[in-house]
Amino acid sequence: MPYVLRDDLRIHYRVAGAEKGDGPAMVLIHANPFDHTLWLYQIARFSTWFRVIAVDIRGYGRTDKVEEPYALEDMCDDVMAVIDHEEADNAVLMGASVGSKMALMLALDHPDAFSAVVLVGGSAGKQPGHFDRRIRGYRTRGPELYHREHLESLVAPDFPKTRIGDYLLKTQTEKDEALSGNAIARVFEALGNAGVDDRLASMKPPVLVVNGEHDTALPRGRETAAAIPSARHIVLNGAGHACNIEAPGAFDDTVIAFLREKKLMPTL
Amino acid sequence: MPVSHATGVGIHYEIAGDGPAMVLIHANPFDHDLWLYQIAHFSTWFKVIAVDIRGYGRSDKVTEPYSLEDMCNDVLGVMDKEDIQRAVLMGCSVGSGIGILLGLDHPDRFEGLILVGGNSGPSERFMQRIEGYTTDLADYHIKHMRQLVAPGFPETERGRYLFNMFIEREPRLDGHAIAQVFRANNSTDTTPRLMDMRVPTLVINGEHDHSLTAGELTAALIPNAIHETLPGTGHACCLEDPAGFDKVVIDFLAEHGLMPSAPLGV
Repeated sequence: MPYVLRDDLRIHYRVAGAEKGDGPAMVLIHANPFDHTLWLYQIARFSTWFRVIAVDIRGYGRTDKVEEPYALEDMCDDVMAVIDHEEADNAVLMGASVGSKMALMLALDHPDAFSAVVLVGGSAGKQPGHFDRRIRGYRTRGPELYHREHLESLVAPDFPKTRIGDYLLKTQTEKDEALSGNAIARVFEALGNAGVDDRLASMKPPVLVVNGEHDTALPRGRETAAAIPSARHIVLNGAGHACNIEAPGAFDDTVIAFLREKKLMPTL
Repeated sequence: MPVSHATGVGIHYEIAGDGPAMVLIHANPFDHDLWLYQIAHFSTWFKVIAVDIRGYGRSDKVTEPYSLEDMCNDVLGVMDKEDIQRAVLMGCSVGSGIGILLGLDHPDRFEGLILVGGNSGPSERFMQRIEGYTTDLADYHIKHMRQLVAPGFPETERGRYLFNMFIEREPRLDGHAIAQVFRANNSTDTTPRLMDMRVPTLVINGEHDHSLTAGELTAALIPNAIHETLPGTGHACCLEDPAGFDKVVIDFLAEHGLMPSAPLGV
């Protein structure tokens, strides 16, 4: 439940696992329209070895809901403020969807700050107009009427019908009263306006891109992986955009194999 | 993970969320991540403190004898360190035994008790567990976990994933330290005192829970306690069916005015 203040903005994050100096750090940046609990399985699993720092990005969870326009760079600075505060040097950086574009930007702008980057989704280019339907949904219908529909579009078709899937999606919509449709729309605007595709060739840390089979970002994830010389691309069968919460076993195994290959996986 | 040394034993714990306090005390042979769903979900409304009890997770592995009261003091030490005066306490198995004792001895510190399992006395089964853990930890750990869930759960994709997570942490465990947890649990019988419980109590058992009879007895002896049985689950019902589990907990908390009305501190 720690918070960091950047100017007047309050950023909330959760820390799990190893204490400072007692294990490498792993920083998690979630997707729209979740908060840090998108990573509930990875927070538990990777805290076995890492000091896991799971950020609530602006607009979500206990982080401030920003109503005015801003850029994806500002959201990256929020994450850097947490990283600096936690002295999380040389962290493994893992981001989903908007979190994956932030992870790309962070690793390009701070090439020595991260040991590896894991992208779920992995779109790198500007996406003008791409999120208009989302932005309209959140602005006009609001989280109460639009959140569930959006969540269901991010997972494989059968997942919301499973008992565990329905439960996990409900744990997000239960927070609607605290969310702002306009603040969520601002996240999509920042996401659509940001592009780092022309810089990918200079990526320094090793990169893994993961997409679910049903993930609409799959073609863009593949393009991103192709543009980064060292990148690996993996597709998880039976999962959607939110593959880490739908298929945590397959997702974690993929990440662990990648980290092991890069000699970044600690042993107990 | 922060650590408290109030009793001389290093007790690690995790904090999630903000708001009124909810303290989670896990069962043998898990650690605080027995509650991974509840940590995520209840952190929407509460400051959730999930403790690794001595013998598990990152907490100290104590191989000398101690009492259940010592384990209660570990929990109070964590609450004191976090400056928590009053909390809802949720405990599973040995954690429910700790919850009962804390509720009886420190009613001013707890607003509600959720007991999963809810056994209040010694058990023949504890002796088998001690034998198992002091003979072959790795062999017995998985056997034990399989006995704590409904038939078939370990073979599901989610069951395999969750069990594997705890098995992966075996290098941190010590069979002799685990045996001491069972000895402490086995040497305390709070049954004669249950009629004096003043803290509102909910007892939850899975349909296949070996503690079902003991849990029903505990609920029958505590004045005004509520008992719920969750179909299709075992002793570790919070992990097996978080949807069913969380619902009965939320209903209980709401009934006692302990459920914050708005999420995320709005």
